[in-house]
Amino acid sequence: MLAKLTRCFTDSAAALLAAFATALFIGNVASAGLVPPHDPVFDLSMRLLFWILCAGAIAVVLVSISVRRPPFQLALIFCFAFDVISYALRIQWQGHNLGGYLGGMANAFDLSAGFVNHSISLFYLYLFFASGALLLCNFLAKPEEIPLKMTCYQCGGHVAFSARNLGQKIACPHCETSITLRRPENLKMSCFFCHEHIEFPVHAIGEKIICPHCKMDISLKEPA
Amino acid sequence: MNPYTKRQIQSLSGLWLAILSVALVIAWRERVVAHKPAHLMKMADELGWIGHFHSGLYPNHSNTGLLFSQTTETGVGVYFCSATGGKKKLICEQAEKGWSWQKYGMLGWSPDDHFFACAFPPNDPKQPDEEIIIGNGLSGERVVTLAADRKLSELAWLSPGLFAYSFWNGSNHGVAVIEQKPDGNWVLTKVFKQIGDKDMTGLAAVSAHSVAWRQGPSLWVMDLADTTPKKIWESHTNKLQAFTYSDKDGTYDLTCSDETHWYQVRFRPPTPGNPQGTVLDNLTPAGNETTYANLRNDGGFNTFHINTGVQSPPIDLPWPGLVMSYTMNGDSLYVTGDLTNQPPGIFRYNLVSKETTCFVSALDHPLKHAQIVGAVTRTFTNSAGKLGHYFVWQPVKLEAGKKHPLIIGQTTYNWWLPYPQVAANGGCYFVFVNRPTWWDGLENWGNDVMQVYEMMAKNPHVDTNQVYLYGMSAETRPLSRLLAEVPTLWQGAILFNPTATPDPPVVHISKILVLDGTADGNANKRWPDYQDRAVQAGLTVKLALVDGAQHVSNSTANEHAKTEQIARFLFGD
Repeated sequence: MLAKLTRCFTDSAAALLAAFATALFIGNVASAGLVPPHDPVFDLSMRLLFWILCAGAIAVVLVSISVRRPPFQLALIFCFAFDVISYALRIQWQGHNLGGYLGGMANAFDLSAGFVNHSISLFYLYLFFASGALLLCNFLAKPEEIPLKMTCYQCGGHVAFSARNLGQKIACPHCETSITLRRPENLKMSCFFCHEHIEFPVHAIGEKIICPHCKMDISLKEPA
Repeated sequence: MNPYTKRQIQSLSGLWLAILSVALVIAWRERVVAHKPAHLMKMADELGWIGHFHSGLYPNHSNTGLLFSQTTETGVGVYFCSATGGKKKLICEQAEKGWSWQKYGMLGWSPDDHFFACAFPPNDPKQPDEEIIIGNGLSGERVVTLAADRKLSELAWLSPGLFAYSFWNGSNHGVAVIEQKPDGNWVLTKVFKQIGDKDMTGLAAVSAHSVAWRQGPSLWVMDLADTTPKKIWESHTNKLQAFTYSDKDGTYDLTCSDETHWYQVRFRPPTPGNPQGTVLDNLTPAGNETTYANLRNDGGFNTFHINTGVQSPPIDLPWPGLVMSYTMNGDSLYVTGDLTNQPPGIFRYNLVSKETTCFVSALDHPLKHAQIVGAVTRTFTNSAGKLGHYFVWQPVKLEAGKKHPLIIGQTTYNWWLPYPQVAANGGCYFVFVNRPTWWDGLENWGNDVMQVYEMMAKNPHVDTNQVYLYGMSAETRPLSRLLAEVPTLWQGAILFNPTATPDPPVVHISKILVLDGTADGNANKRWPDYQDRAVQAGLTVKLALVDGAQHVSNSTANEHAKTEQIARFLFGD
């Protein structure tokens, strides 16, 4: 349940951050040719600051959709949201109105600066609190089941699966051969000639070997 | 669905959502762009490149050639245009940077029209002297460029190969003479260093060897063979405003004024037998035998009153458009300005054929996307009870049931501007309340604008939720005051080369455009500082600083840049 929630959150955060980065990009391009105001915290041009913010948001999006380590993703989103919120609070603490800085972007989308300001504030509060809460839950929760891994006997491709699905027959995702999901331990069979037990790894199925007991040539087969 | 496929889909869900959200943002932006007027930037581009004419028209004596001044891409140029060829030719050009109204001088035509001349400050700042350019009166080709005194003031042709110019040497005015020698070279032949004081003006040729000028209330003449100037007229009660010399009968027509009236006095200069000179006639306003034109403006409607001489009755020529400058030359009236729905240009009205033709058009190419919108003149009674008038540019496409934004300001509308055209082409009303002169009536800026705003607000096509104030230079002070006094009516403000800006905490408009040039004083520092203060107060300030532009733009490139910014501000980036 927690994993599902985390996944939903990271996906939604990636989507919102991608939208935010796109809006910043369009706003910056649309206001080209105008002199941008300066930010009162770092004394940087707001255009440069927006480019930096845009690059940061894109980086978080890429991590959110490519890396599958929820705590890392959540921590990254939390840090990013924390930085942005801290910056906004710093500006407001100095008695400045954020709406003025967002006017260029608001105009590019025919929206009021106040609406854009409130929307972005809500968005970052969502990122901050949700990522914080999920980080905490993940920290407190039991470690999740580690997925089992096996090797397809036909193509040697690795297949990961949940322990709940043990014994199910599926098509190998790599070669589409029908395989049975098994624990990744060795298989056992009896020699066709001497009926002695032979143990072998899954990927050896189909190979011809000399029986270690009777020295006859036999083929390794998947147990029935 | 097998677990692997399910997992693959799950791992891509973030990517798909991100792509979807980016697409939504782009779609929103596309929707905003689609609501802009079609070909907006192409319209602004076309209109912004239309060059402005500067005051001063110099037709030759036979009306076959004309010298005029017009903005070029990078500055201001002097052009020659032949009546037969019709195509203008650039003679000389000065870059906007360093442009000075005072330094520019037009000598005009030699008495036989074979030469023309003009004086220009050099484009090379290392070169100290101004340049006098002499051109061929038939082809417009530059004949020679001469270095003149740096402080060249005025010029006057004495004979076809001889001219004089006055110069300022720091404490006095002097006069220099340049002559064409038989070998064709033009050389400086005489320099008189201390001729007149700082008030010396109106240098004119009286004969092939003498010049006259005005100095305060008196009229002076100097024979160039003699070094002593002679005062031939002094007005004790009136001011001497201007004079002309008639070499036909050797008399001066003096234009004088007192506190209430203007007078024309015809005066014969002193001779050895008559050392005082003789006042021949008091003329009102001038002699009947010459042709001249007066421009009347009644309620914003221009009419030329043309005296055609003794042979035919005067002509009243209504002029439905802007008049920047005009000059009467023989049987032709030249007017710089525009006519209804026509681009600006120099027009010639022929007294004989009674036809008006466009002599030079400001348009080098026909407009493809934009169209020229003529201003409609309307009258109103101002708060002082006086009749005033205002100009309205209506949207090109007035759609039933659709409301259009309004841009309103009060200004002295006496030169062509592309901004009302861009607004009208994009679907806005643009209104200039007329102010007779730049300073006269500036104190009524707010009252006049409010008065006309209330009239415009009754128009069902005007969107009163989208009203912008427009002001340039000194007008931005009363504009800022009005924004503070009546904060709720305005959606935004356009400030051109401002001298004052609205106080951010008391202004409640959503956006301001501040448009200035980097060469306008300390604009580079002043406006970014203001922008930072205003933005901190929550005001959206769009600041555009046009590179190299001065307080008054003098190049089409800079006007073009400003026109584009206006279009972007009004209709969205």
